Amino acid sequence: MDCGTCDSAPALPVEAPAPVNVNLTITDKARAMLSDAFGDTEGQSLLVGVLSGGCSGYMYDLQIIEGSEPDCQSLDVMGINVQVPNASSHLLDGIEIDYEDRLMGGGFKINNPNAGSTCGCGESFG
Amino acid sequence: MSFCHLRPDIGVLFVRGRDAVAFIDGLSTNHVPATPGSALRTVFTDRAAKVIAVATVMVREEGVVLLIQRERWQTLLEHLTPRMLGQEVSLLDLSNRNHVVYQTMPDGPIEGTWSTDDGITRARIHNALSILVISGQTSATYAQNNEAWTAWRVANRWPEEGFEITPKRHPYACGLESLVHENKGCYLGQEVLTRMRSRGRTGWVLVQGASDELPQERITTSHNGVSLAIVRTSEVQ
Repeated sequence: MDCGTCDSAPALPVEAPAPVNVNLTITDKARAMLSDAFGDTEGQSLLVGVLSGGCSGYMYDLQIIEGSEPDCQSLDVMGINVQVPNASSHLLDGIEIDYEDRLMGGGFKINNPNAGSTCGCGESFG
Repeated sequence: MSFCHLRPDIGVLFVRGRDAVAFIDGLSTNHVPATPGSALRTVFTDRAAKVIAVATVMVREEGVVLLIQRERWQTLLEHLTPRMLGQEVSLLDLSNRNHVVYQTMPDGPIEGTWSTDDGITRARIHNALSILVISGQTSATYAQNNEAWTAWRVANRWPEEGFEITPKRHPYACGLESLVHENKGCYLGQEVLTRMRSRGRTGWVLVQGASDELPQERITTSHNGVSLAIVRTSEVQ
């Protein structure tokens, strides 16, 4: 296979959607759980992103991170610093981050008005 | 008998980047291991588990090489590119600098692996079939060998895009059941395929048999009185 010039060969053009200024909300319950998770550590943020995959084509990516990430929008939502990658901002505008306190299937949930369908487990949408 | 069959209808797509394996694994039916040197086939499916494209996969250090039927190329790109998001993945078209050749009864790497020698990469994806990706700079010449390939396909119950594999069928209905991994995580179409398998209801199945014993309207490929056909599971005795 001729891959000798792979490093210099141009990548196929990919038309990325324009970044959207994200508005998101966090329910009181989710905020309380996030505050618990952050503890006393200063400078922590909630990263809310989207990855490919999952039963519906896109998967949520929730992480607690130190500080901020490059190419992310930094939002202050009810005192919680939230980082949203520009690359997936078009899929996350208008979401509500909730927390369901249940023995089975509980945890953080994202209600997303951009989702045409959602996987049963709530981690994936399309 | 060993023979080679040039496949100008198959293109070479290099998915480059740190996230390439996870990206391809998360969107297709087979488990794509992160181990460089692995070779396998997988299927990209839509939400209804209908086939978008079948790909031969070669895992490299720098990413993943996909061999794709050119007719399905654009549809696959339209499926992949909106999902690239912020992942470290880029797509390179290496079709013009390589030839794809099928070789039956091959020597070379063991099944499930690939190796490169003198500009020829050999991916062993079946005990009796390797796919060669040959640098355009090599002097070796190959020809299309359609009749021998059709005979091999019929003898080995090997489905092909445009014949058995179409965008209206799901993998279980066109002989691609071995490419649907039973234990991997979620991917687009997985819920539908898992439900079919667990209920034992795939609806249709690819069979091989004597041409005069198969429903004529279901036959997809024939050679010397033997055919491949896609029949209802209820029609299989």
